[in-house]
Amino acid sequence: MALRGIWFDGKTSMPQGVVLSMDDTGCVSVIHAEDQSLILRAPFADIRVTSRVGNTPRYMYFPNGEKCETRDHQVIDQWLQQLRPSLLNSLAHQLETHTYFVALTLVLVVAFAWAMTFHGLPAATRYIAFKLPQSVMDRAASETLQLLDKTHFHPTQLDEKTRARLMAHFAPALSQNKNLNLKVSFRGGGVIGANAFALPDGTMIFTDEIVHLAKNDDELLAVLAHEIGHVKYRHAIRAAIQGSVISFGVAMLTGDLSAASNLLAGLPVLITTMSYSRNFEREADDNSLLFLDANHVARHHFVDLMERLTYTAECKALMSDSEFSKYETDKRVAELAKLPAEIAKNSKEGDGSEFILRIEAAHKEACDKLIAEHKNGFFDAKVMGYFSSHPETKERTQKFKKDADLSEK
Amino acid sequence: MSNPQFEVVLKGVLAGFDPQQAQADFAALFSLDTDKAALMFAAARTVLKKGIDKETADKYVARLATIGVEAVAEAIAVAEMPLSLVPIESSEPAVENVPSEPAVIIPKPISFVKKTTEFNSSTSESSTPDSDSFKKQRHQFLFTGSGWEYFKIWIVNLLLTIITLGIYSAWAKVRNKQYFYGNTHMAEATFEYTANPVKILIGRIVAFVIYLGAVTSGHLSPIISIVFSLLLLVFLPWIIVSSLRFNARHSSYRNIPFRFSGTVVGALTTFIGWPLLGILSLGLLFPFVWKKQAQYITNNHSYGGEPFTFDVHVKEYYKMLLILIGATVVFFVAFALLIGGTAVFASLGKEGGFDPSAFIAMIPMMIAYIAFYFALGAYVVVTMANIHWNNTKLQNHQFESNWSVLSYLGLIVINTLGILLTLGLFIPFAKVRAAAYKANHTALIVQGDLDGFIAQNLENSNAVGEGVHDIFDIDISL
Repeated sequence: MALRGIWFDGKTSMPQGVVLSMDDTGCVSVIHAEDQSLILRAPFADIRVTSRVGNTPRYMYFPNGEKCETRDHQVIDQWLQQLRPSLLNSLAHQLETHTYFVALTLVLVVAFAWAMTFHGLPAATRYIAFKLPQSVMDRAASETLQLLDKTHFHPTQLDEKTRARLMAHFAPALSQNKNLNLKVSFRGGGVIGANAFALPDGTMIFTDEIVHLAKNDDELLAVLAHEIGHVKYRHAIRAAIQGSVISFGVAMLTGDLSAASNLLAGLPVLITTMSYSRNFEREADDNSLLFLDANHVARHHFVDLMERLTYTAECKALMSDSEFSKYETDKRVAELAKLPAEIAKNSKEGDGSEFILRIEAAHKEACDKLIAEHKNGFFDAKVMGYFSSHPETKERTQKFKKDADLSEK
Repeated sequence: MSNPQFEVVLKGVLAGFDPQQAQADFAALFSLDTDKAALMFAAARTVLKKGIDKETADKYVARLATIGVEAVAEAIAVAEMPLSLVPIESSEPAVENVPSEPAVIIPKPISFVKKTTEFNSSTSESSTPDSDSFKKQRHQFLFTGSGWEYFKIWIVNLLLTIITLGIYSAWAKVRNKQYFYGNTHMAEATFEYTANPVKILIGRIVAFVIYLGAVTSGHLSPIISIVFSLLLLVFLPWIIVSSLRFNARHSSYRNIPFRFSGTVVGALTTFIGWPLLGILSLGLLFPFVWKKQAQYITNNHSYGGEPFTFDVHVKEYYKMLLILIGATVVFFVAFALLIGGTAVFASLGKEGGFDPSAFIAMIPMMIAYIAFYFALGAYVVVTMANIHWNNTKLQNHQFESNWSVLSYLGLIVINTLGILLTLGLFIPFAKVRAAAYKANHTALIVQGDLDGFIAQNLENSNAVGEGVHDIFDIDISL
């Protein structure tokens, strides 16, 4: 049984066509393909054969560094089988060419990637996050707050009285979680608008806008309990770790490709991190729920504020800029008009507040109309949901409503 | 010189193919009877086609390779060697029959049947022994890998890497690399990646420890993390150099390894000094940076003791820079004029939560922007590659590349979409497509032959640098 190949002596780059044959003693003869002269004889045991990779050529290395490049895989495999039977030698290639094994591998790899992304990584991160010292949280938080203060926030416009009232209302909730170093702070939200944030070190920020939006202090208390959940479960640091691991993984997987492909590699990363974020929100919601029940605060407060927040945000997004600012100025004018009425105290219903109600009603009507128009838009909430950092309000409030029904029964 | 003429010379049957079958296919392709075809194969030198341009000649060569027939495109040196126009040794009539049938080949799409081929040396070199060390032969790079075949290797590699908690990744790397090296053919031989997986594993373990150190130090103390980053910056040139050295040392062609002999100081000036200068000059000196970097990488590589040489007038890079700036300005002006209104509308929507209508309004903008980004990226990659290869020599053998923006754009768009839509499962296909593109658009114009390179003593190289390089994924785009 002979094998054809190209011979390179390892000293020069000159190629030479050769025929290799093996005798009964396991000795390989290298014969010049043209003049049939013998170039070399060597025992097969001294020849190193590279393992097979797809259909790329095999290389046989002879004791003095000569190399034979050949594609006669069958012959070479037969020789190996005869004289150097080893499972490891050809295992990788056998697995790679076995259709069922490859199919199984595909299933396993996809399942593994899915399990790691949605279970393994979050679980590992949770474990690590709770092991980290407080100093890590503090540093991360102070940098974030400084940045936000510079770019988005303004100093708060709330008066001393309001703030003191809220702090007093929050006090029991804060003292229940003494070990978390909780701290509440107020800021003008700017473009962020009505919202509340939790920083990893336990600082929680309420914007002036959300305080205005709330109809009573229990609504804000429900939000506070939600934010405490973020701090308690170290969501910020977990999000950071999970996000960086996912981007690292994607970079490793696609690293070899041209730069252009990397642009869109960010998309799956975004979708995954957003899914993590939604899970964190759910966890924080659960915290709020537990707190409200334990402290006998009605659950609807959370639902009310959440629905109002969503409605306002949707409204603002759908309304053109001029419409919205007109509403804002109208309302401000009305509020100013309301002031003297309040000072006059108890003198029936002030004209101002009636005016506000009228404006709000008109605004609501316009908003409802817009929202109804956009209800069946091209982008179904389902699709957009994957890019969203929070679960749908409907889903979130459902939990509060459903469990409330149960507890009442 | 402006329009060089080429001829396609029949060399024989590629190893691994059945000569009978190859000759039969050849006869069928050229509509010849088998006797005539056999005669042509028996002749010492048969010119299949002459007086054609390089591109057409390459198409012939590639098409013939798919049926197992080896042919080379040879430049006809009009001035010095008018004699080579006439095949001296073989003047059988069959030669004249073939060129009259170009229609047989050209209309067929040059589809690379991904059969693996091996160039048979025994038939090739004896053809014109007397005439020349001047004789130019164009050797096209050829890539014979297939997407499916590589997909299987890739996915099994992934699984084994997962099962062994990353240990197999070193073996996976060698198999991945060997798949691409072994499927790249040039002038009768393939390339080989000869690194030892155990060495790579050690390098990776060291790199991983360093990486862990870097990551955790960042969380523990700002000072340690600054010290760490500084150390990394200092070691960066060393990492680049040892990675290049390791890779060259373990890349071999015709049983002779490549070699990289750049110094750390050289890397320092090229990859830190020059870019700093480029930034300080507000980008004006960037063409010099690109040239210096290409020069550092190329000129420090050698094969069989012969250095590669790269030299080009810097104005080529300036031309690219001007076109880049021009295109960007034109695009953004057009962008602002055409869709400026939409942009304002959309940015308002973003303020309060997520708004689907604003998102829809942004879609054409995003598409235009991504299209521009891709086109510009493709232009840069293609121009850089062409400048680089068209001015690179090994001894007096000249590299040649003819990447084109449009075809490259098609490649990366399909690759990107494929990877996105399959959540990464298209990656192996994308890599194979990219490798095939590079090979199909690169050639080596050989003066005489490539047989005279002499192996040098091997130096030792460091796998740690390679491992660190892998982990931190430092891109040295050449």
